[in-house]
Amino acid sequence: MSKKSATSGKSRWQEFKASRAPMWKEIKFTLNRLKKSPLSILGIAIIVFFIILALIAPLIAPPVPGYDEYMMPKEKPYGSTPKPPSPEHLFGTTPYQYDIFYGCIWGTRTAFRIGVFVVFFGLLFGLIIGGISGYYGGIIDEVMMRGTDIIFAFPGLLLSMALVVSLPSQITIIDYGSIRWIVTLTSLDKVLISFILIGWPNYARVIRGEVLRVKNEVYVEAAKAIGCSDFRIMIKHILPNSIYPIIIISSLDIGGIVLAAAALGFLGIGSPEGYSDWGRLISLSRDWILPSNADPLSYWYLFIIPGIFIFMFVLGWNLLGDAFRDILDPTMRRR
Amino acid sequence: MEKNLLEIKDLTLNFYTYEGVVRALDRVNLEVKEGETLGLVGETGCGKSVTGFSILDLVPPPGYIEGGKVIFERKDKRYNLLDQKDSFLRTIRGKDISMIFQDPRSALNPVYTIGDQITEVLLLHRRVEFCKQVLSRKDLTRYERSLYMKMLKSPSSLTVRILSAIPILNRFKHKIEALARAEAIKMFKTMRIPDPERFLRSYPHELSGGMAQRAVIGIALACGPKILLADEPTTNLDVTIQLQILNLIKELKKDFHSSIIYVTHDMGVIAEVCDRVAVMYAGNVVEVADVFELFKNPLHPYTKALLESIPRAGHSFKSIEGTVPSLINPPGGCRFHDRCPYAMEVCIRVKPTLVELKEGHFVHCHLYSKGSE
Amino acid sequence: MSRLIEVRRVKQYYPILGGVLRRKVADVKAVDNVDIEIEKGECFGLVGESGCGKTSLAKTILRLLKPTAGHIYYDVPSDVLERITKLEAPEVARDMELEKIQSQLKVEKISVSELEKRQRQLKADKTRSQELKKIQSQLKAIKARSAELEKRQRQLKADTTQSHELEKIQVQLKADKASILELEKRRDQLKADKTILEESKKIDVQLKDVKAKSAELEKRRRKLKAQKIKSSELEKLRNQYDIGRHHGKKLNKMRRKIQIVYQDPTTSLDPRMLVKDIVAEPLTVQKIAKGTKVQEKVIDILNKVGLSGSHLYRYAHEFSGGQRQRIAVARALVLNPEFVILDEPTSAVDVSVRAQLLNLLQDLQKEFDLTYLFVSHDLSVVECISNRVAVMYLGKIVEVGETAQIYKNPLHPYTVALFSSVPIPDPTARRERAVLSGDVPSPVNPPSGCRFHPRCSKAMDVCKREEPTLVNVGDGHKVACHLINA
Repeated sequence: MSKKSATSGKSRWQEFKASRAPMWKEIKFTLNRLKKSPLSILGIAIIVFFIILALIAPLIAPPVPGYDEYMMPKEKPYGSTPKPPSPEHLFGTTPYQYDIFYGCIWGTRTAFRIGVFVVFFGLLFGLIIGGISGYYGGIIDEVMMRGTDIIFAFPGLLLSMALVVSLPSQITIIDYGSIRWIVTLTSLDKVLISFILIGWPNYARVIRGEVLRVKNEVYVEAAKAIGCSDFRIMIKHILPNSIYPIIIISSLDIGGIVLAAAALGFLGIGSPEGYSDWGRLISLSRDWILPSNADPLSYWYLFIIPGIFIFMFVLGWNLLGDAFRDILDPTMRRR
Repeated sequence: MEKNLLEIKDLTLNFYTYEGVVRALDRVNLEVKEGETLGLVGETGCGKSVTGFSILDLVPPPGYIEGGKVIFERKDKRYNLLDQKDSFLRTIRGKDISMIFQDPRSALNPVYTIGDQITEVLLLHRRVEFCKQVLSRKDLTRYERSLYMKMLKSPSSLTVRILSAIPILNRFKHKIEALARAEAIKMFKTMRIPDPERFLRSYPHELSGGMAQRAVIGIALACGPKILLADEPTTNLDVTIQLQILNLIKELKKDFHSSIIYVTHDMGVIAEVCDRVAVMYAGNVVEVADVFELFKNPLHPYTKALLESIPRAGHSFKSIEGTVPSLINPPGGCRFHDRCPYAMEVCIRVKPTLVELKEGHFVHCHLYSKGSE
Repeated sequence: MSRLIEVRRVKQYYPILGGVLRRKVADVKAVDNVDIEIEKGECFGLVGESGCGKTSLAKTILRLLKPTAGHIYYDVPSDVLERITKLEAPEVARDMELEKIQSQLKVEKISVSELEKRQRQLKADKTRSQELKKIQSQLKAIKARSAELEKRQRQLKADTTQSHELEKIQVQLKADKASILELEKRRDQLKADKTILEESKKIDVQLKDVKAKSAELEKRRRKLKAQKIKSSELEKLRNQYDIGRHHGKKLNKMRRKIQIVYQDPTTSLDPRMLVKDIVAEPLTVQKIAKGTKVQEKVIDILNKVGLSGSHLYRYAHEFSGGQRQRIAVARALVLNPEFVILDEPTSAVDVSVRAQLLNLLQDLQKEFDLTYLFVSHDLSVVECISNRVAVMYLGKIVEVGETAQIYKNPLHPYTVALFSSVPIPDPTARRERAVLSGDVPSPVNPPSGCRFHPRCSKAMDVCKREEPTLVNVGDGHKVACHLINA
């Protein structure tokens, strides 16, 4: 039992290392558990692959200068017959000659944008509203939960379509003399906003449940006995202990949101035509799945290739979510 | 000299965890005679509860029994319970060896009434007897009679099972259930529970701690077991309720002629209830003696320290130096040597052997081995 | 020694919400009119079983809960305390009388309902009228039959041939006459039986009596409630010293002086925080120190409880039970409080570690000049560590006094039963002990009068009606029992 004084006696680097030591131990324990489940490793591998793909997009699918990089390049003879995979168009072309390869690669970026953006903001709103609702209870809780009930009452996809249609394209925030701040919403932005507005109640509900559980724990009462303010208790005590189910749900949701966005894109709502978005690519193939003048499925590359991308992306996030659930289950939570 | 009802020989139990192998029990030896109350005393983590669980092979993974025998005598035949198949053990659990748990509210299933739970045990083990009683009645329909005959011959017959699940056709079970309920009410009347019918209809969460523990004891004793394993049954209860339950256990022991293995960490309860005591430390049995002998003349240093650390008015508190060792890397030799005020050189290297100093008083300590002093 | 905590007439009721609109239907009377005085520097033990309200009382003193009624005076100089007592006297008297009237009213209500029940029973007692009716009909039938027989007799008298029939009829007539006489006797008996009527009249009189009494009590109660006895000086003093009224900044400052050590160190320490953060949290929250000074203080206090600086950067669950409890003690003491509430600190640890922990607590008390409130249900531990002890039952204090006196000479029947049910670690001392029958009743509807009377072997009639008050029987030993205070 040697007595160590605060600053002297240890270099700052040693202090830092010691203070992070328990964190490292926990991370090592987590990694060990991950190693035991091959499906989680598969999930992580898929997601890492997609991340790399998104990062190196400009290298393997160079954008056409002068155009917005997300718009797929069109081949000169704008014929309406799609062309099968060939050396110049690795995955073939869609009707009206959009390059599928380009669309799929840059579509990865779009997918990440959609997924992460929606989940992040949905999570933010959900945490705030659910946290306050769970902690304070009473009439605030009632009002907020009835609000979530109202949103839950609508079928999700239909509500999002309605919102996308009704959101304005230009929102004027300030128009005062020389100060003008107008926010332009692209159709993709509208889709994202509508998903956020529909998605936050789910997080709010889950967080509220967890907060209710943690609120009654003894250490929260002990923190009150010390004199912690409500805000401090929520941020420092309740949140770290209630975050686990949220991590699981949000990773599952990223996949789900991308799938929903692809569904809307297939219906034509969302990104403009020519945008490199997987759903959009599949929507271009609508008339060619069972073509009238050729064998069915002869234009398989139109929908199967973007479909595989969607499938793998959602699968990866689902496996990751399952992996989180396995690691963060209560037997480890006891630690 | 009464014979041994249950013998535990060289029981070794390991838990395989992420941090390492926890050697929970190390060559534990115990004997339970007919009609006696054996107290199993020790602190948290010494392995007393696991010993009880491993008698009935209820230790969940990652715990595995590595070696040893648990010999139980039943109808003049001796069985090693660790070798038996699960189907055989199921006939023993609840009938010949029963268990009472520490927290009565969580030992009872919250969605079933007490009546349902006790008739479950009764029907499971005394089915043949009840069937015979039902069949001797005159007012059975042909349908009921045929089903009961089937139940008598093969208790797990598929027909009976399927019919018991169908809502209207399972009315034939009412007769046998009524018999079981009558038995249960008789049982609770001997336990002096006021208004047993109402008690049978209540759910566990409606009962207080003392009443719930009485329900658990009733369920355990319903089939007249020879050995009752009581795993700290009164630790969570108030002192006055504890007294009621202890008196109840003493009375029931007389009525049912069972032996009791009473696991606890409270020396006062041991002094009240037990005939013989076994003291455990870190997975070893360190001393076994008659209860009067143990309190008057404790031999093992751990027992002595344990008795001294009981708070007594006017004396300052005496504690035991150090902490319980981690069982992942237990100390070699005698596991108590790093906290023992009398530790010698040999204690670090060699595990002490069993020495019977007086008749019935056993110690595992080098202090008393032959030749050393 | 000066008084540190003075708890006066504190009540802590938890409301039970029920019904569709979630209105308050009843109260859980966890703490009901409790008075405690704790001197500076002493260790005050509070014993009782589960449900007696000792944890609620501890939490109320700590101001984790606001007291439903009553005052908690903290660190009041003795002359000010006297002044407060004098100023409070009329209020106290009025409250006591109100309570007495309340309980009397309750008793009256019960007797009214009983009498009314009996009244209804009597009215519904139709047995007399039924029997009367039966006898009437029987009489009629027999009279009709004998009239017919007499007619036949007269007929046969004229005819001498049917002599045996005549005899039969005569015998029959005689029997009939006898039974007629009997029935008539019974009928007259019943008619004269005015017992039910009398009883009914008596009950009426009683009812009127009782109702008049309750009306009077009600009137008195309303008059008392309308009395105005507030004094501004008292209010000022209370705002200064009564921590039951503090809020906001004042409450926060008070938290520095009163701290708590919880029972179970596993749940009372945040599992996601390092030890260093746990112990440093009070300092950061109360803004006492910042930066490196915090670290110094933390290491200092950890050393004092027997841990070291090397334990700083670990999670709480990596320690054993005894060490975790030490961390909890360190967290309580880092603010240098004056008063520490120990809520069963040794129940969750092993027997051998218990002694270490108790030694530590005693040393710390001497070193830091602390005052302890030791709440426990473990009587042997309380005997060794406390100077004075109070015994609680169902929200009330039943006995208070010096530890040695109470343990040597317990007076209240509950205290006697409690002490005798503790198992003694000595098999030769096995004795026949009086078992306390039944379970602890629920605090929602406590028994009337003395709360212990349904389980008390020595209960008298007065125990059902009147609640006993704490009376000093000598040397600071107070008991609340009619047996003693007779």
